[in-house]
Amino acid sequence: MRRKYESKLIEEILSLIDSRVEYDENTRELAKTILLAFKNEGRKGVEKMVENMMEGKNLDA
Amino acid sequence: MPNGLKIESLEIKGFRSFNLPRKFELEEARFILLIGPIGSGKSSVLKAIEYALYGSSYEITRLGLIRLKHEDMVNDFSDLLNIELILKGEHRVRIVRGRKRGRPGRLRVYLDNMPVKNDVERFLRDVIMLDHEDFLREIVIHHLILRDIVEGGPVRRSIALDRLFGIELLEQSYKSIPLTMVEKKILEYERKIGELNLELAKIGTFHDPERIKSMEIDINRLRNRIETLQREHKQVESMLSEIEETELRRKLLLERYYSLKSQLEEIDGKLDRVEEISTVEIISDIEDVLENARSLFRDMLYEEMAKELYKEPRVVLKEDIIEKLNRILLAMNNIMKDLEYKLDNQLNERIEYKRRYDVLRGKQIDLESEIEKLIHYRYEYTDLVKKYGLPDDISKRIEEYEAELLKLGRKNRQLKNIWDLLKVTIDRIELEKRTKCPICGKELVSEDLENMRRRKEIEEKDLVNIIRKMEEIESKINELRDILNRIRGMEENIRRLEELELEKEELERKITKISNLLHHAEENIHIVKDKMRRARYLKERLSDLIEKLTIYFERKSLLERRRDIQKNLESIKEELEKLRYEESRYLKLKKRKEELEKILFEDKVKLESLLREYEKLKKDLERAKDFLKRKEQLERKLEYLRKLYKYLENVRKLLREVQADLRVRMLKRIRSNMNKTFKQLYVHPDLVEVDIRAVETPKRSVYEIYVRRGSDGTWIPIYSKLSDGQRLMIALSLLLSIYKLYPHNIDFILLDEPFANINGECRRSILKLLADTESPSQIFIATQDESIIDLVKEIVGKDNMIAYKLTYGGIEGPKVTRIC
Repeated sequence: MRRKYESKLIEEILSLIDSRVEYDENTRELAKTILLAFKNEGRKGVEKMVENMMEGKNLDA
Repeated sequence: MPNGLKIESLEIKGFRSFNLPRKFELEEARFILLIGPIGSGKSSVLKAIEYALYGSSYEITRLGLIRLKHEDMVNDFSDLLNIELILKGEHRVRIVRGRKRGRPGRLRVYLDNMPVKNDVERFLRDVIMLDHEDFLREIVIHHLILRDIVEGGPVRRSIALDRLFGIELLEQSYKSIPLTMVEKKILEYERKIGELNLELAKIGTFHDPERIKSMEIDINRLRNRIETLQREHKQVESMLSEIEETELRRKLLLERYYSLKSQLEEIDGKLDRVEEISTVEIISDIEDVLENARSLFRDMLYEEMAKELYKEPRVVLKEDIIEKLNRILLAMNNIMKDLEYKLDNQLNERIEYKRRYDVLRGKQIDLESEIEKLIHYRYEYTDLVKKYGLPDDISKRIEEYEAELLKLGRKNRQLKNIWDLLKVTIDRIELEKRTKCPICGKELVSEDLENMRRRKEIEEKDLVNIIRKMEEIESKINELRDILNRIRGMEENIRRLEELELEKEELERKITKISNLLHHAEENIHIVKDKMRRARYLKERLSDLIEKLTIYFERKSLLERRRDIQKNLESIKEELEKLRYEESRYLKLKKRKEELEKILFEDKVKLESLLREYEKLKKDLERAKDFLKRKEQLERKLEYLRKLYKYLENVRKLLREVQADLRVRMLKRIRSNMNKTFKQLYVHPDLVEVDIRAVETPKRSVYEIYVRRGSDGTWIPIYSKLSDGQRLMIALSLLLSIYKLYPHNIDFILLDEPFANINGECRRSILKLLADTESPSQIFIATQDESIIDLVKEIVGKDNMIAYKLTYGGIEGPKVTRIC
């Protein structure tokens, strides 16, 4: 899900998420995915992603 | 890699409000002022720099309702956008960004005039070391951000600051997580599971498999019993049907017997009524009729028909003889029709001849009467010719009389003249006693008078004689002329008479001819009538014969049928005697059949009821299985959704925590720079230090900006205690401190209307601060306020600044004039 050219700020946010080890790996990955989905596709992108997850299309995430 | 890139020049064509190319040469100037009224294109110049570097604009990349397309960047009156931006640092970087309407954009980059070939966008990004979003935060300072920080409430201010730090994305991201949607889905699944539980409770424990097995045994037992009974029932039924068939056969035979009997009686009755005809007599009749018919055909000159009439040497009495006779009868009818047609023709001919005869006779009578009228002329003519001669002779005689009359006329005139002279001379002598002779001139006297009187008398007598003679001749001429005229008139009538006589002769010849034809037609009519009579007679004979033959053959056929029926009756009698009907056996079997049917019906009802119950149980079992399966699936999904919900909740929590961390980090990073800048900008001693704190409230976290008072060292919130100008100073300090928050290669800053609501003193401070800082070394200011030019000139000097004035230029785009 990571884009080729992310801004430095996004890089910093992503690294901050990764540093939160009290949350499990799946939660951290999901947070990053949602963040990037919102950045690229907006609220609808996130909603669509969650809908897909509810349908069980993206269980790993 | 080059460091500290400044803009050397910028050329804009076909971008937003710019249509024709406009070039900005910036040389080594520190301040670049873009002065112009609203809509003059100042902001377009700043956006052109952004577009040249990133091939996009905030208006295109932002998420929201008002979002522009790349096409919207192209000027309305141009199809081609072209921006050339030359950056200068350690190296010279020339960026050419173009886009044709309806086509994708293209980018060319030249490093020290050498074109970059591969992955140009990445090369450019690596050169400037700054992402588009970071560029918008660090390089572009817009008056709207300043306004939000200075005038906005806590939420608006927090959003503006978050946006400035670039961390608004975190809040928006976790707020966009649709937890309610997952909650709703969880509730829906819980409701569905509840419904399934209810359905299962309704089915209860009836779906016991043991009960189904015992029921299956009962059903099989009952089915076997029914099969045995059905076999017996079939046997009884077959025996019964055998007996019924025999009975039915017997009944049918009896019916047929009585029917034949009645037919026999009927035939006998008919035979009594039908006359018996002798074969010999009928054959002789046929031969006679055939002979007559042949003779008639020959008379009618139908030789072929006569030959075809009956080919066999002797007449044989077969059914087809009627057909043959009917054919002859038909031929006879045709002959009759021919004869009638001929008779009609002959009669018509006769009528025509008669009519023509009558007409000719009428004409003959008319001619005779006309001849009668003219014939007396011929007799009269003959008499007149006998008496006066032919008309030519009469004409000659008239001419002779006329010549004589002419002579007498001349003589008469001479005598008259002489008599007149004598009379005049006598009268003169008597009157004058003398006179001269009018002829010779001789003197005449009374003595001559007597001579003259005698002479006069003589002359008078001669004159009278001549006149009398002349009158006689004239009368003769007139008579002859009358006669001539009459003769000529008669000649005309005689010619007409002769013509009529010739015509009469011709007419008589015609009458004779027509009379002969009329006679011939009458003879023909007589012949045709005779043939018709013969044909009619033959027709009658043929009809009688056919009738007789019909009766003859009917009787023959009745006799044959009678024989056949009698034979049939004999055979039915024999068959009836062979058939035996056992009624007691039949009744016994019938009773057994009824018993079996009753038992079968009861068993079948029982089986059906058992099967129904069995099917219901089976269905319930299937439904229960299905419900349990569905319930299991739903429970699995519900568990998954709950897990997902928990994950999403954790994600929200994580993102909020990251947001809080980031806020703290950002504030820590800018705090020292911000205070340094603030101290340079704000020269008064009452406010000595600025601090921004992130405060968590139940709904959201907000920023609060505090300033430390110099007099007592107390931290006070800026929104309740400071003026707008002071707050603006703090905001500007904050914005300038953001520059180079992350390291990059850009050495310029773009300020869009930074001095709105800022007084002269503060403006001076801001400009002085910007002039004093080492980086950025190039400052773009777009403003409507022309007084800035003098202020900048005063602070940095004329050589360190360039000012362009932009004015509205219509279709061509803004007019750009360098004014300083």
